[in-house]
Amino acid sequence: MRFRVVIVAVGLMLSALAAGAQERATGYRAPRTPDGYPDLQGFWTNLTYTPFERPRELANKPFYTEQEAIDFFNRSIAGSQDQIVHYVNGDFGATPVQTGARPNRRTSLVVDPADGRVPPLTPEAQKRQQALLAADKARGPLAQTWRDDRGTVWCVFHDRAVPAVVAPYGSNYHIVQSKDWIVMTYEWNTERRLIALDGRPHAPPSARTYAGDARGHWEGETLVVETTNFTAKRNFLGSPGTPPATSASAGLTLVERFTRTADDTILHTYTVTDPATWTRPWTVELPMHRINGPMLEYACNENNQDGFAALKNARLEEAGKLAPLEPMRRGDAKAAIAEQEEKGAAKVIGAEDEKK
Amino acid sequence: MKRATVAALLGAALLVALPRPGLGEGQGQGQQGYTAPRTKSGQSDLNGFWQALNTAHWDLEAHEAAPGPVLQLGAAHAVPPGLGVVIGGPIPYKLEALEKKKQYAKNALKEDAEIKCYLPGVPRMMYMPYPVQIVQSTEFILMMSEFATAQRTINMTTNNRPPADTWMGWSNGRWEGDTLVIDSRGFLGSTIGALDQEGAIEVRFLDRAGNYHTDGLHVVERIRRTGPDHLSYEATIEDPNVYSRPWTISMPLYRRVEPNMQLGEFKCEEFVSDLVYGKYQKGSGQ
Amino acid sequence: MQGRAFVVFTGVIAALGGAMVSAHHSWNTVFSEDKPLVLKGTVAKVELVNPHGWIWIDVKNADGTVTKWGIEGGPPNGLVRNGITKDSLKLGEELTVRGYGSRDGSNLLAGVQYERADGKAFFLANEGAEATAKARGNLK
Repeated sequence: MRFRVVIVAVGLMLSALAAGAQERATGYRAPRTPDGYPDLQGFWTNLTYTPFERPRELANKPFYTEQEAIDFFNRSIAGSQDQIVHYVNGDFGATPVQTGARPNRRTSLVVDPADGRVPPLTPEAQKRQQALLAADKARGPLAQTWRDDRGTVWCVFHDRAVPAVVAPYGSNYHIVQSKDWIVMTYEWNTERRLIALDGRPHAPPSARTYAGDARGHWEGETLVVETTNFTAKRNFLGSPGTPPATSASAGLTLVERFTRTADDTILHTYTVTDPATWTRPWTVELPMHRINGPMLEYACNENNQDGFAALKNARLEEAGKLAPLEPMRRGDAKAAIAEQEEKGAAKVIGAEDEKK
Repeated sequence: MKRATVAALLGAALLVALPRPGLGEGQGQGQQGYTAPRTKSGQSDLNGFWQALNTAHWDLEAHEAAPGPVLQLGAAHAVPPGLGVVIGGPIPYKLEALEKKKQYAKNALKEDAEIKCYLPGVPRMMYMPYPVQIVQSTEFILMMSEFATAQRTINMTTNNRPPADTWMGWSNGRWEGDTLVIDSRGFLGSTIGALDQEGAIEVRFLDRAGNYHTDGLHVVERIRRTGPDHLSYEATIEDPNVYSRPWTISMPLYRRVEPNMQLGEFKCEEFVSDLVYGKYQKGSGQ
Repeated sequence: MQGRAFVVFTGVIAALGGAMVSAHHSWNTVFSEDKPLVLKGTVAKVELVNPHGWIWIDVKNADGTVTKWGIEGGPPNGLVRNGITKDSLKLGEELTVRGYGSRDGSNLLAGVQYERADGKAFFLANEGAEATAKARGNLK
C-alpha cells in the first residue's frame, strides 16, 4: 500500500518536473522582488539521489525514462539508511525525500562532458592528489588532530556549500534578496554566500576565502554569478582554489546560472574551470526545489562533542585503553537494536519494578 | 484661562521637553528630524555595513584602563577605558549574580565564548569590533557579522515562538514608524567545554568583562536611522535569573563608508583548534 | 602541505551512487555496537541543536541514585519543519530510549529508538512515511 502511494506521488512529482521543463521552454516569468528583479527568495533544497558522476555503464545514457527515474528514486529511498549505530534519519525528517528531494530524469549531476563524469586531472594535479592521499594514509587510521576526517567534524567550512555538491542532508539554501545583494545561506554549518550585484570588481587576489568572492548580474530571468578568490586551503576535487600570486594559474573559477523555471523550482547550473587541475571545464546541473523554513542555525564548533570524543578515543586506543575500532556493520538500525533487546543482550537501566 | 487648563498646558509642555527615554545624550539630538531613504517596499532603508566604535565589547559598564590577561600581548590587548553604554548604569545584578560575575571576570580567558570562536550571541554581535552587514527584504532582515560568520535572521512577517533554542536566538521584528523593533528569545545559555565539560559554564558572556546572561535572556532592540551614516541602537536586556530588572544599552552604529565595502571572511574556528581540542590532539591542528 | 585534504571526497564521488550514504561521518568512533542499552528515565533537558540534538534524561539506578544521561540524536530542521519543537517533549515526562553506549564508558547514548510513556514511538517514527509523502507535496 505504501509502495503504491510512493509510485503515485512520485508520478505526480515527475509530471510537475516535466511541466517545469515545458514552462522553461515557453519562458516562465518569475514574480519580481520590490526592486524589480526575478524573485529567487525562499528556502530551497538541492538534495537528490542522483549521483554526482554518471556510473560508467550509463556513459551514453544521460536520461532515464520516467519509469526508470521513478524506480531509481524508490530504490534510493529504500537503501539510504543503513548504519546500525546511528540515529534514524527518517525519525528526524532528514532523509532527502522527506526534505524535498524529487526524482530527476538525469542519470548524473555532471552534464558536461557528455559522459557525465568530471574530466581527467592534469598531470600536475594528479601528482598533487597522490601526494595528498599518501600523506593522509601515512597518518594512520586514528584521528590525530581536528583536521583528520576520521570521526572528527571539521567545523571551519562546509565544502559542499560552494561549489554546490549535494550533502547527505542539510543541503538547503535560504535566499534573501535586496537591491544590491543576494545572500544564500547554506544550512550545513550556516555557510553564507554574499553576492554583490552592484557591478563592483572582485576583491584583490590576495583576499582569498573559503566561500570565494561572488559577483552577480541579471541576464533576463537568469542570475549569473562569477566566483573567484577561493583560498588555497581548499581542495575542491583536486583544485587548490586560488594559488599564491606567484603561480601562473588563475585558479578555480566558478560561473553559475540560477533560473526560476516554476513556482517551486530553480534550475541551478554551474561550470567549473581550473586549467591547472582539469583538462577542460565541466558543468553540473542541480535543480533546487522549494521547501518550508525555518533554517535553524548550525553551530558546529559549539556542539562538536563528536569531535572531542573521536580525538579522545583515538588517544585511548593508542594507549591500549580502548579496544580498536571495528568496521561498522550496516543494516536496519531499529531492527538491530530490537533484536539485541529481544535476545537479552541490551542492558536495561532505569526500569522500575514490574508494576505497570 | 482656567487654572486647570493652564496646568494641563504646562504639564504637556513639560512632557514634550523631557528627553525621550532611552536616547543617549548627544545622540540623535541633531538628527531627530531625519527621515531615511526608503526601500522599494516602503521601509526605512537599513541596508549597508555598520559597526560600533566603542569599548562595549570589552566592558558594557564604565571602566578604567587595566592590564590585559596575557602578558606577552602587552598594550595591544590591555583593556582600554570606556564611559560605558548602560543607561543609568551599573547593570542591576541580583546580589548572588554579582558574585558570580566577579568570578567570571577572573576566569574570562578560559570561559569566554569569544576566545573559542563560538557564536557571540545577541546583543554582543552588534557591538563587537567587526562590521555587521544588514540585508533587508520584506520577509526577512539578515544581520551578518564578519566574526565567525555569525548571522541573525529577523522574521518580519511572522511572530512565532522559538521552535528551538539557538546561540543567536530567535528574532521577530516589526516596524514602529521608522524604528525597527526586534524581540528575541530562545537563547541557549551555556558555554560548552570539551566532552568532559572542562571550561563549560551555564552562562554566556555579554562582553570580555564577565557580564553574563543565562538561557532566560530576552532582548528587545530598537534600531533606526539618525542620519545618512548613523544608526541609533538600543537593546533592553532582561534575564530574571541574573538581573533584578530590565536594563538598556544605547550606542550609535557607524556606516562603513569606504567604496566597495564587503564583509571579510573571519572563520576563526581554524585558528583556535589547538586551544579548543589541543588536549586530545597529537600534534598541531593549525 | 597545509590545508585540509579533501581527499576522502574523491573516493566519495564514486560512492555517491543511487544509495545515498546517510552519515557525514561514522558515529562508531564515539559509540559502540557492543553496548546496546535501554534507558528508562525522565526528560531533564531538550536541546534541538545542529548537527546533533541532545536529550538529557534522569535515569534512576538500581541503588536509588540518579544519573543524567545524554542521548545524541539527529538534526532539528527536519523536526521543526514537521511541527516538532523544543516544547514537544515535556520536562519530567517518561522516556525510554534504545541505542548504543559510548566506547569510553561516559553516560552518553546514540539514540536509535525513542518511546514515550504511552508506548508511542517519538520524533517522526510514526509519521516518517507521512512526512515522506508530505515532503513530496510540500510546496509553499
